[in-house]
Amino acid sequence: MALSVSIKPRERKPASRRLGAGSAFVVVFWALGPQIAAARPATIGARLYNRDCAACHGERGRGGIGLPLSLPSFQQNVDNRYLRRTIRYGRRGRIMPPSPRLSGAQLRSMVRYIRRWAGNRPATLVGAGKPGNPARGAVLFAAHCALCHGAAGVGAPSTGVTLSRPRSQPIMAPALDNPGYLASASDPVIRTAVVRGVAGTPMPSSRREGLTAKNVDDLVAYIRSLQNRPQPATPPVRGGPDIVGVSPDGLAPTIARLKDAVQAANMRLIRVQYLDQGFVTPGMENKHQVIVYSCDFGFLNTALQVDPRVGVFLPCRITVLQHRGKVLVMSVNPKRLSTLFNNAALSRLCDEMYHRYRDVIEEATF
Amino acid sequence: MRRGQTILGVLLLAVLALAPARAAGLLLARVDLPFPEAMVQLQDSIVHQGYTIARVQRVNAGLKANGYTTAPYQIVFFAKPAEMRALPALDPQIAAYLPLSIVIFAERHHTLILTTDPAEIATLFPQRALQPHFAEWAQDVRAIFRAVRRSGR
Repeated sequence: MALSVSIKPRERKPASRRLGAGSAFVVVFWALGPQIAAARPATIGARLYNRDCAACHGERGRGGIGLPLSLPSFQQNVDNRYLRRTIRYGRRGRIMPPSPRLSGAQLRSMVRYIRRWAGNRPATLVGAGKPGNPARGAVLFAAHCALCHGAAGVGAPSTGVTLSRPRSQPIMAPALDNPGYLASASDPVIRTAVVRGVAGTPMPSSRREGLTAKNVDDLVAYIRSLQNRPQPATPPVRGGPDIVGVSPDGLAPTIARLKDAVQAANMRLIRVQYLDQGFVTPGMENKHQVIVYSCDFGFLNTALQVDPRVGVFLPCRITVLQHRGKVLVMSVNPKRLSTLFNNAALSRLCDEMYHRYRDVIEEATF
Repeated sequence: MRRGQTILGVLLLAVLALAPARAAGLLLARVDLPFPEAMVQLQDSIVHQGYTIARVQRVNAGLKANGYTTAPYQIVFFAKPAEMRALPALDPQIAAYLPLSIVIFAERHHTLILTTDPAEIATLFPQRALQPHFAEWAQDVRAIFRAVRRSGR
């Protein structure tokens, strides 16, 4: 079938009218240009922030899964370079992802947007100090900092602020040994945090801790020295999407053994249901596909403290189905999925979960 | 026809993979609504996108019953009935990832919604026949997230 399209020729406006419209545009641009130019980067920054950061840090930077970026004492303690580099490099294994695709201009506009919450006031860092002694700094760190920042600066085992559940601290201490942190924080930034502390958080000032200027120099030297420590290599991701076992028995005895295995692994049996239950008319479900739901609530509570995003694994479920004459018992592979989280603490829990699933499935299919 | 769908699915996944970086493999959004309202919006958006909701797992209730304190934390399970029937026959291993789910939890006056990106899970399942489904889910969960976020503004 042929399509006929008629296009109405555009009317040419008289030259005087074209000039008039153009002149008006020039006048308006001349009048508003600086404002447009000034507003645009912040608008881009707002858009990028809302796209990439707001879910964790909050739409106005009040924190959540991520730290509260709007906290005036935080903003005062870090320069724009720190913020730009933090966005660029992220924090390996600490949820905050890197953003290698953002341009320098995009990073600057995001920082400009973040700075708005503190009235666009620039950071005021304390002086550079003198070269310190890292060995003495290590001793001071163990006495004054390790309780919150962990031995050797590994950070609290969780992130963000307390919004959704009780935690041991209202805000989690950052990992000072993290390559992303050390690449972002200059010595003056580290020194400023130590000297001033961060008001509104448990981080005290050096004065409150009874530290001298020399002590502070030693602490800064120690924290800087952490970048020389070899970082653990990221283990290669192994395994398929599932942990799968093949049962030597039929469906019913396999499910019975699976229920026993779940309870023997100290997991509470929540429910057993057909895979398509709730999607088809009751009574019409496929009886050869069953899900066994279970939970270890203590483990779950720990996992949620480490990373509230862990819910994508929940609840613990093991699927049993008949396929081409075999009874398969399977679960998701937590080790494989843990790579989605950029959270080393959660990866350790996922390893533990992997072994529990594997043991339960082995027990059910033995 | 099926081959065309597969190619379309692969292309769509490629486009999604090139989309701006998020927390790799996870989709997370903050909704400017208290939890109960956000939950209603989420369920409406899932249904509007053509899915059936099978049930809601109240994780916070289980935690509370076992002596732990938490804000509302729930999981909505949903799928298309035809896919629930057909896909495990194509590849039984996908059954462990069905039905689809979205986690929803409260953070003070806001609510967060979260799921694994189907485009990412697709990389774990090389079967061509599954790719159009993953591509469609990837589009749909993004549409659901957009709708819920918009409802909060």
